[in-house]
Amino acid sequence: MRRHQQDRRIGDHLVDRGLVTKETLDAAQRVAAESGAYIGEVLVSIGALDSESLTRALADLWGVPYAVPSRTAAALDAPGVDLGTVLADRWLPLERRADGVPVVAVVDEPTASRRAAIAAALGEEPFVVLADRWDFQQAVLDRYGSDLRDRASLGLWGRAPAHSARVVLVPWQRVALAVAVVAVALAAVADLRAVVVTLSVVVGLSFLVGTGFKFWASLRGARMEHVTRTDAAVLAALPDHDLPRYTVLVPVYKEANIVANLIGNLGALDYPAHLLEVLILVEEDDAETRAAAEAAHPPAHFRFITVPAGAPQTKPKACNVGLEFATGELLVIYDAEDKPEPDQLKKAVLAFREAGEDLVCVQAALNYFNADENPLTRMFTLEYSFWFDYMLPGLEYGRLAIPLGGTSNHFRVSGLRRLGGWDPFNVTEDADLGIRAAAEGLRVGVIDSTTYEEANTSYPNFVRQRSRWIKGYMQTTLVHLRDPLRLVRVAGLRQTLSFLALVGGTPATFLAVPVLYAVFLASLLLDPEQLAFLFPGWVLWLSLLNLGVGSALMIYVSMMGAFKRRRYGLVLWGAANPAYWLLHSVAAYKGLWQLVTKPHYWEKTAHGLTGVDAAPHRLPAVRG
Amino acid sequence: MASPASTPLRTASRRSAADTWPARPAARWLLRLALALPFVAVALLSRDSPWPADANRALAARGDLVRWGDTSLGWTADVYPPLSAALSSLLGGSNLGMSLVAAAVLGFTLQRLTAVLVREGLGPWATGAVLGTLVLTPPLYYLAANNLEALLGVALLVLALDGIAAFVERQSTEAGFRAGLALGLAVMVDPGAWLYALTLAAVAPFFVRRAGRSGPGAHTATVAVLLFPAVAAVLFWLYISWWFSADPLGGLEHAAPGGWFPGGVAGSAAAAGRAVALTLLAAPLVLASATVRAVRDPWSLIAPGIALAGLYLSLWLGLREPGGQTYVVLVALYVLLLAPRAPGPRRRALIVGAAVLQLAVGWLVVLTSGSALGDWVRALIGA
Repeated sequence: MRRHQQDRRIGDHLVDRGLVTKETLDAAQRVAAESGAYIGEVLVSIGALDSESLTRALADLWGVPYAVPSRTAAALDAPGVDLGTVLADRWLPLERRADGVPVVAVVDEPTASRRAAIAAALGEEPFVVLADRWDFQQAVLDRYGSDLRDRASLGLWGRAPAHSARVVLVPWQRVALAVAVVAVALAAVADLRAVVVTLSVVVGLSFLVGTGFKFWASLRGARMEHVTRTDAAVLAALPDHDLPRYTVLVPVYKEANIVANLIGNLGALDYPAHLLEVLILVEEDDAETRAAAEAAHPPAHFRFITVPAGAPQTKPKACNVGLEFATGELLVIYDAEDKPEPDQLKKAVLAFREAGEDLVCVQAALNYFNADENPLTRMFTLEYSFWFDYMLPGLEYGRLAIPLGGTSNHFRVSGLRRLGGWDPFNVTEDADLGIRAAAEGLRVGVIDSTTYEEANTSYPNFVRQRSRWIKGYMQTTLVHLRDPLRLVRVAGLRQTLSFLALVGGTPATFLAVPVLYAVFLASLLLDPEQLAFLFPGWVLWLSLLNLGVGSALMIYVSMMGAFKRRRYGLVLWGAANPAYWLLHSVAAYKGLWQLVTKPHYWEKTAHGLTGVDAAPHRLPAVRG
Repeated sequence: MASPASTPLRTASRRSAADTWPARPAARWLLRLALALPFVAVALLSRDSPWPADANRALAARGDLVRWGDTSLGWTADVYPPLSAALSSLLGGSNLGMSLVAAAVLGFTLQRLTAVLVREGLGPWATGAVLGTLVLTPPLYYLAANNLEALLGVALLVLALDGIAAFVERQSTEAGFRAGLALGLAVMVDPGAWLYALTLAAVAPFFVRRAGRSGPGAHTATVAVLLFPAVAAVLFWLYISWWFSADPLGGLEHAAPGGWFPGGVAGSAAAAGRAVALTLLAAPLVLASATVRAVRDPWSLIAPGIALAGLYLSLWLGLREPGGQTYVVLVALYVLLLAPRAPGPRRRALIVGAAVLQLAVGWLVVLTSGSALGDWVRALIGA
């Protein structure tokens, strides 16, 4: 049967049953015709009827019983039917009837070919029932919870252990580390002065390379300022029927205080609701957040997925579970407090269309709506302004590896699945995924759209968050250096060096800061003769030069970042960066300690601490 | 959707900067080479000239103070500005080496100036004529052969002014970035460069709004982003000098080759004013264009005013000598800030006429006056 005939048949049936009015149906049919969506999806998305009523009506129309699989008590043991089959083919064996016939739930029209495929898989004729799509998902979660948890946790590890941070150091790295420690200890015994001098130079150069690379990338990114990434006319003319289905993943944990906000924030996205599915990923042990979200009465295209409990309890594991159920062609991650600019999804669609298939992800800029709340939020905003407005565009300009930020990463679902999803053992799974994409010869880009977030207002909370980020960068560096030759071969030397300078250089920079500050303080308090033993003039000069030049460069780019965002009041705060980096250093040493003691521990960042409202008129946009 | 076989695009395609001309890298390098060659030739000719390159000698003397590998580092305070001293040290104080570096720098600088003229739509004849006022008259050759420090300062000033012009006219923060960095480098190369920076800070409030920057804190922020590198560089060097020597301001104090305010405060002010005025009279292209701008759009003279005020102050203080520099800076100002945009045929003809007149006046002044420039030309050609 042709599609429009089928839609008309379904529509007439719904009107006959009194579920929708003729006028509503006509309006929905126009939308369905323009967008290519199914009439049922449109009616549910506009709130004309709920998903369960639609499914009951369809069951009646197609002559099959309606069933609620999640309420099925006993599971049918069907050899050969695993989670992969269930998710891919969208049918689920439920139970055996009294006469021994297997009952199978489907979510699509039970056509003859579908029935035949099921029969072939089971080896016997099934009794087919129709289930609501969301209840079907819940039944899959109930039935295959442990399988899902294992796939989400160990999928990447099972497929490519070398890409997983489940093991911190592989054997050769352990040996190399031990040899290095022993060599330094022996050298210190033999000639302490030479070791101190060498380490001083190494620390200073690490700092200079890390900061110098960021500055260089930012300068290149500044050149992109006048490049129009998205043609406003093309964006405005983008018809609904030309848009792909989009999945939005929102992992939440212990966020009952802010989860209701996401409904307003994501509800403002300019994208047809019937092409959008928002999957709110709630941890199994977090009933409070789920209750708060449900109490906010989310629209029909917002759905909950319960993430099966089990270690590691991390955001990437939740995202992997969400990815299993994603039906979109494209997918994006947002945090509960995120406020993306409304046209962000459409800009991502255009970016993917205009690029080749090797573009697997685009990152939107992140910035903060509570920038002026306290000194910490000001510094955070300065940092993000240069990072997302200058540095990432600079990395993209040079086709270098881009470590993704925590949210607003838009993916091609096919590419994301090809990469194996997120590594749940890596505590900066986003940065790792960006580098893994480069290591697999794929590409990450940026788009000119901003998501506004809540900047951390609390210093202890900041240190917790940063210690996780810096630990994750250390994990990512170690993971991708397991086979450096392969990395160079596949990603290229430039990509490898930029990865080392940025992802390896960032923790190195923050670990070096206290050492350089100590040298600086010593230079203020002591005479050159008193320092000459451990720091001969040229070493001291080099250390001070590294500190002076490196600091000045980073202060300058952060000032320029705020200036570009027209946050003039923040520009002079750039001079406070040295104190801000000291805070990073505390986090860096904490992260290093945790890398040794509990590498997979996820330091949870508390959200909802701000007293500032994300009023749209207060959010500055980047302009040329 | 592009097929996998097609050339993949970025999320934004790479584009050349507006002032990148010629567009093809090979052509750009050829042009730079061609523009540098005459200066290389003059550098080679100067080897046998009896003319004493005093400025380069002074730079070489400062370069000699640099002791690579020395652990005491007591010399740091005396070598300000350090980058030009370090360069001289690396070149072994060779006048020929300095002249060749100057030629290379000029290859880049003149290519950029040419690109600006092309961008502004002056057409080939007017572009050639304006460029001719630089490459067919002696001042730039004199600078290249005798005063590397000043030449580097002028080249960085060109970069900074070009950046400030784009920062104001195109509201480009990238150009502001570039201008700030160029000024930061300039103060480490040329002892008079910080005067440009100070003048810039003084006049910033006048162009902030024009640069599209309004709102609370916009003035302070604009000054901060343009001046931070220069301020940071000077402060850092002062700190290093303080740490390693007993006389942190020694280098700054010795920055004026003939002493501060040569001829006294009033006498130096008058001499500097006279030097600038005479050079303006010898540059009809600049004078005419500045007059037209003063009548039509006085605010557009702010950026040239920065350079002119900086130039005047540095002459007054004795931080630079007038020979050649004033003329070169004025012509650079014309190219960067005063030249009309997309002039019609009549205006182009006027530009060509003024440039030819300027060429003639330039040579006449050089050959008939007893200035250092004239003496240098005569010494060079053995007249």
